[in-house]
Amino acid sequence: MKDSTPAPQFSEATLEEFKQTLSRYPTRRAALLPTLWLAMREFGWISPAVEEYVARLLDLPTSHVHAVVTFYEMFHRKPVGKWHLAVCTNLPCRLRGADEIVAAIKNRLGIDNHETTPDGMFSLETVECLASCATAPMLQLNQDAYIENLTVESVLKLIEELARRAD
Amino acid sequence: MLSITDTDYGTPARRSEKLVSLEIDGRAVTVPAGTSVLRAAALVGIKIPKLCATDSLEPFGSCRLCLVEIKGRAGYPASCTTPVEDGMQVRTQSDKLQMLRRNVMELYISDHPLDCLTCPANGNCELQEMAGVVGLRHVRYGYDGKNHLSAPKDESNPYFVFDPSKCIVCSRCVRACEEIQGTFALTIHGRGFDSVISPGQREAFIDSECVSCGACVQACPTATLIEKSVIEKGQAEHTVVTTCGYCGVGCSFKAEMKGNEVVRMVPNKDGYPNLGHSCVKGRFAWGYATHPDRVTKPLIRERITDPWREVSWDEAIQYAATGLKRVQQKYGRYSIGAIASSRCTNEEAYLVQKLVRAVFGNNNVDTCARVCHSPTGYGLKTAFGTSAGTQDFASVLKADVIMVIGCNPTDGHPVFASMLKRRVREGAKLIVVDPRKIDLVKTPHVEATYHLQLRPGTNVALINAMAHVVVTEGLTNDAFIAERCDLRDYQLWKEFISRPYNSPEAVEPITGVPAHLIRSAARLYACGGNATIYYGLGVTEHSQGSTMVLGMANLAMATGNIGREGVGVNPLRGQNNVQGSCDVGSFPHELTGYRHISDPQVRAAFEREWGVKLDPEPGLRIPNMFDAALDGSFKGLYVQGEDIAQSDPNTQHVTAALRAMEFVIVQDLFLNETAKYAHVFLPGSSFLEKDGTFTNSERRISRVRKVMPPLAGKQDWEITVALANALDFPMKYSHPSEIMDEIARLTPTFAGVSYEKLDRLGSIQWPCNDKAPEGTPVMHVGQFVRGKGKFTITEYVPTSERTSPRYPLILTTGRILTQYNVGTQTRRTPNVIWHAEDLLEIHPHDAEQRGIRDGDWVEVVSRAGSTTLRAKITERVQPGVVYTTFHHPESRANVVTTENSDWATNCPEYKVTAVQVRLLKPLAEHREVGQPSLELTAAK
Ligand code: SF4
Ligand code: SF4
Ligand code: SF4
Ligand code: FES
Ligand code: FES
Repeated sequence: MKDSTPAPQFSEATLEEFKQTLSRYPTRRAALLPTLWLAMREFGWISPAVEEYVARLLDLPTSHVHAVVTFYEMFHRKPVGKWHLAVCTNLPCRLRGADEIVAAIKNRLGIDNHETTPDGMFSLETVECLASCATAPMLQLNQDAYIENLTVESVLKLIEELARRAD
Repeated sequence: MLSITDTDYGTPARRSEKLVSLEIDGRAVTVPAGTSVLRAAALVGIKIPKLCATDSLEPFGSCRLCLVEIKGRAGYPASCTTPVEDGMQVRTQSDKLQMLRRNVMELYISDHPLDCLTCPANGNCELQEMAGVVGLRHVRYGYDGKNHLSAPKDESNPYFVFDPSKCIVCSRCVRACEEIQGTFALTIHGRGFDSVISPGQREAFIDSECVSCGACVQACPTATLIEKSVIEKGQAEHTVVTTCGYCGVGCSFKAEMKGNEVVRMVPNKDGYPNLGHSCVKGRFAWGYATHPDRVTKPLIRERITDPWREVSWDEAIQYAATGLKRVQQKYGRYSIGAIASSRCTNEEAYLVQKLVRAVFGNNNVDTCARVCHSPTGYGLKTAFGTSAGTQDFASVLKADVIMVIGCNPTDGHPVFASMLKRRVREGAKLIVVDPRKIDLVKTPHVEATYHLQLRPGTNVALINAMAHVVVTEGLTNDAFIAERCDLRDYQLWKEFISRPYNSPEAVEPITGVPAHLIRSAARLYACGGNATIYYGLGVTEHSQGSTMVLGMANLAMATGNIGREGVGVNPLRGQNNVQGSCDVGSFPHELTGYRHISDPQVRAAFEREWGVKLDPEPGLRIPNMFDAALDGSFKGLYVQGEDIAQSDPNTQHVTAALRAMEFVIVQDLFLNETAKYAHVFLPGSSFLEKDGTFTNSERRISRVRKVMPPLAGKQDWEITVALANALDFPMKYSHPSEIMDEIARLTPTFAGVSYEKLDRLGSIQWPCNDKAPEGTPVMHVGQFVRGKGKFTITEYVPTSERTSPRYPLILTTGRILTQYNVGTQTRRTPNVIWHAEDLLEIHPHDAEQRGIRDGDWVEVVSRAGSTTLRAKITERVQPGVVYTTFHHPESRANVVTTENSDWATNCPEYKVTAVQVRLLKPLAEHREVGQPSLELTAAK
């Protein structure tokens, strides 16, 4: 697990943000989730080395950080593509065709769930309810934008657009 | 898994004045408030099914097997997490409950292998037992669904296996590692069905933070975490309660036995001080006892160049007796002596000094405590009146400020360290005084408020500066001093300590510790509530060891931190029975209970008991024996269980002395370094093969019980008895209890000790007599043993061992968790995988200057000698300081240490040696890991 690549390190700005985050919580331990989000933003994914770094920042056992990272699927434990598609496959979305959406993506990109295209452009992940059931089926792009009322056509179009936007 | 003879009450005991009465299955039960329903039921023999609860851990409420019905409450609350309430009416059995529990079991078993018959836990598995209790008959879900049955085993730890296919994810292991051990190595990886137990970041156990204490193995209700020895040998059939033979914590164990074979060692839940916890050495590293290297036949030879000859016990004892007599006839009464072991039992050490005083007719007896804690005896006796620590270990749980000086508890005294860390997690403040960044300085959840990283050899300057702050800033506890201490001495001391040269600012250049840190630490110690001091060899093994002990005593008295729970001054003793061997008269000048040999009254009692006249003159200390041997006046030595040729400082001097003697008897488990110079080798017995008692660092006398017959036929006390008899002094003991009775008759502090009482109470902390019939956990309550506490002037005198351009670095020594002392035992166990060799820790800055890279072979040269070691570059040591352990004889760390010693007690100065370190290029190419340097160059 312990690799020899240089230890991860927050940028000055992120470090500043981290300090402010800390001040909002009663204990360092309570600041774990927001710190992990900072780490996700900074490094794109949480490697074992990042877990250790966060553990050191917060004076927590590494095992503890690892447990939290592996509990929440939103923390990537592998590098993800430039465009990360998180497709909801919970009951309402599924009833409205989420399975076809997932199949279409897999087919178009040639990757399976939790995988990334070899060119590093796209990755796919199925997730639990994102609280947008009324607009099911849906996906979340890069843990940010909701793309709703999906159809196979619309999702394929989305992929084309994103692929083109690769600047 | 728990020991086969343990009862599990499900949740920990609660202490409360308030009692609560309730009814469980129609039976009235009264328990302290805060007790769980599960425990209350267990206390009256009602067993509620359970899996995730065990009484060494806080309840967790995850398995839902312990559900009960409580009148007036909706649903089925978990009895492990439900505290009792007055008037509660609880039902533990009903059809509905039975069904719910069976459903839970069905789910568990649907993802569990059905190989009970061939499972190593068979016969002592809680899952199996619960399946029986809830009447599980079939599993509706079948076994073909998604499961973990083919999860690979982790066999990386030398002592236990982790087989996740059997795991029920009850988290008992995770909680044990957190709550009991405090290492936080384990966690749960993933969520829901994917949850698996994960050491660290899902590493192998051996690569994780795990320190192999085994708490998780003991807590596991299944065969998921299980000892390799149980897999190999099967479940035990009986247990014997005994005491760990390794370190001065003195943990109580149940040896789980199959006939005469040890299956495993399980720390005794009801035994003090460890209450069911242990470290890797005590729990796992007992295999040395039956190692093929054990010598099982007595050996003799005429010259040390001859080969050994196996002989009968009778012949060996006769030969030994004749040899001793011959030397004495030739060179006089004072020409022989003995060294008592601090690893053997109290009874055995007592007999050695009796042999010397009554049979040899002199007082030439000493013990290896000399090489570690004699300054403790001297210092604490002078200040308080008793040569021992003031507290029990449990006292640390009441401390608010804990000052750790010159010791590394997580490595040296791990079970105590777990208690200390628990207290720090609860909020106590920690001050670490150590040249190195020891683990306690910063680990998850434990961080020292102050780390005073002083230069080796400057302890006294530092402690004086702390006392200076206390006195000059008016932080003294004047009421305590006025009532409890000798005021004349106090005034003298106060005047001395207030002098400006003792101020933090003045000593900063000496200690290297910033003055403001010393000031803050002193204020914290004086004003932070109950403040306690724990110290180790980093205090005693110095030229000013005794002065430092006195300095700490001064500080504790000046702040009133003595004489109640949570305070005190406490040595952490190295070997299992250092305390005991000193207590029972192993020093040349003291009879049992630290009474001077020159006292005619004391002598008279012994003379009556033994029927001989005793010499009133103190005999030779170990270093004097060596000097006398080189002078030609000391010619014969009987060494019980101690490897002086390796563990003593300045090896060359010792071996020359041994060579100069005419007759040397060594009694030990293995042919050790010293045996190379011996004429008789008497094979001794390990702690598993003998009856007796050990006394730990907190003065606790605990029983050692024989679990197997001695491999060589005799327990060590029997050997000394045989030797005395052959020297025409009849010793007639049929059991060590009679030896203890004799000690009790002759020693006021032991007057109330007997084996009968030890069996009844489990253990006893001396003093134990009419005033304290059940012993004394905390000393000096109300009054000091010596009457008034004595302040002593502790002038700092720099050691004569100075750095110079030729020897610019300071070498200091220590130990690590998995190895013990010179490693005679631990190196004969799988513990070697953690410490294949002694390494020289060096700061990156010093390494760079010398062109040394991590792992390079380097030569360490002092004024006394040189040795080679591999370098480990680390910032744990400060620039200018290098550090090594001395667990492997090949590394000959002692060859470089000097002959300097404590002024009062001759305790050698292991902790400070000026050295130079040089890169050894040529050797690096052809030497393998751990290979010894065979050349030995004396620099002097
Ligand atoms: S390893 Fe044992 S103690 Fe740990 S979760 Fe699994 S069954 Fe429970
Ligand atoms: S052996 Fe001790 S340190 Fe290692 S995981 Fe188990 S409880 Fe933790
Ligand atoms: S702490 Fe000491 S006494 Fe306790 S188990 Fe470990 S070595 Fe034995
Ligand atoms: S189920 Fe998909 S958003 Fe709720
Ligand atoms: S024993 Fe109570 S929930 Fe597991």
